[in-house]
Amino acid sequence: MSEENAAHAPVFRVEVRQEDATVRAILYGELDMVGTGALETTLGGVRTGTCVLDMRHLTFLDSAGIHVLMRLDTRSRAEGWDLAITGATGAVARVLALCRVGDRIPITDGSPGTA
Amino acid sequence: MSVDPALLPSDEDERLEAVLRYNVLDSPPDGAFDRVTALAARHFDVPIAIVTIVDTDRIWFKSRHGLEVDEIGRDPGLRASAILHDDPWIVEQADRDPRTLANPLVAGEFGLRFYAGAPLTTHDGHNLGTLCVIDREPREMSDEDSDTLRDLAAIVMDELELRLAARTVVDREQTLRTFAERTARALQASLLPPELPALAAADLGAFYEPARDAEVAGDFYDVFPVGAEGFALVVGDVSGKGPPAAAVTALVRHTIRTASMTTDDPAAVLRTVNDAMFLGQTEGDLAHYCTVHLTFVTPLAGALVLRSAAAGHPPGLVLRAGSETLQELPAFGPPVGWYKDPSFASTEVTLDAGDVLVLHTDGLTEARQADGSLLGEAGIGDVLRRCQGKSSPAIAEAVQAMLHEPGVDVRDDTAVLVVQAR
Repeated sequence: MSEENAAHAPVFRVEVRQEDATVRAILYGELDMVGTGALETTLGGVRTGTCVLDMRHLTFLDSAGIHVLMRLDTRSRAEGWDLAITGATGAVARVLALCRVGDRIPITDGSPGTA
Repeated sequence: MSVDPALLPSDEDERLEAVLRYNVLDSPPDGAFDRVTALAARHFDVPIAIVTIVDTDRIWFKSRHGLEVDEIGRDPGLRASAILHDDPWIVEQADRDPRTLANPLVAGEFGLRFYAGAPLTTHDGHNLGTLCVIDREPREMSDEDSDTLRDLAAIVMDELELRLAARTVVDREQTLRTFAERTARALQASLLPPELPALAAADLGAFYEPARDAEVAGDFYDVFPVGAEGFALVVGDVSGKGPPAAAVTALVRHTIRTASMTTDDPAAVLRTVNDAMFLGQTEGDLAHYCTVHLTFVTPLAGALVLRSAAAGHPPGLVLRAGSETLQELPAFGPPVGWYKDPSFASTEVTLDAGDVLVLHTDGLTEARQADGSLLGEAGIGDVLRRCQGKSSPAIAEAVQAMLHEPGVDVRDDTAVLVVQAR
């Protein structure tokens, strides 16, 4: 699937890439109650280093999605690894700002050269 | 028709109670019992075998092999006699036996000549009825036959006991479930204001719709007085459903009410709510989060001054009189119950005559319309623009009606509060 198509597909999908000590999880589509299980399972093995949630291709995030971020944040602190969010735009960025997620999980804009 | 008292067992009242307890009278045919009567008929080589239950004035057949009748009166019954004994009661030549030769079943058309009945005895010693075998020819019954009949009767009794035990478990589970549901509902009902208070300075409207599944809903709203003339508006959404979520709703709601007695800063109230949730808990312990939108309303010279703070909750929406554009109250903060030292910020805005404030939960904005798009704030804006000049209850009704339009799919609980200055 081309990146262009991916951005408009409503179904949730996560693609994981290992970049040295960083796990980059690229989220596609809409993250709601249906997709949160898949995300938590996929990231269940992360124990060290940094996990970056790349939201460039995420089009929707609701309260179930926020809950998954909250659980990942709590787990990362308990287990001693780092969580970060990058590339959120539009409605997704709005929800993150509303819940002040950035106070707790570092959020960057995802431009080249940043996390 | 009444039975001669001399022919009643000494424990007849308790025996009848036992019959009722086993809940077997007039129950449908049952393969397990039919197999025993068929087996008995085959083994003893007789045409008729019956499982009988002796009621007050009739003898009812739970299983009958070789017979078309479902019950007979107790008076002429030989089975009525069989339950007087704890051992099998046997009549090998009924037309010669003084105990039975005058019985209508023997003397009359039926022509009964052989009867052997073993009582069905409960674990506490009551005879509910019999397993009996019947022939129209005299027969002999050995001690071995008698033992076999007794064992088959015990098998029938075991089946009755099993069914009683199973039903008791099911009933108990049902009772517990009903109790749990009623408790949850009572708890949730106590958490909703039964009706909006009538306020001098403000016109309020509201509606609340739980999602379609039957469990206790997670959304809540509240309106209560603050200070001499003011009041508070609360809308919230607890994660999860059922009694544990309802308990969190209670904690949040009551903490807000109490904290609002000593501060007029809604951000401070939310910090207190978060502290209350974490009392004695560490981060990661809490199973439930809660979003909250809190607004203190103070009437001032015909207008309403609003101070709001929000914890991860959709922002309040204002449509000014004569305006086409919906404004958001900029109140941001994390849901309560996530971590221990969150930041909340208060924001202040004034509602003049004709301005409308709508507070809601995400069940409203995340409803899907017929074309697949979300209702969103755009949908709320449409309704508010159409309803400019109407009362708050009328606006609330219009919003609710929009959710019931054909093709609209509401996935979550929905609560809406509408506020205007009077």
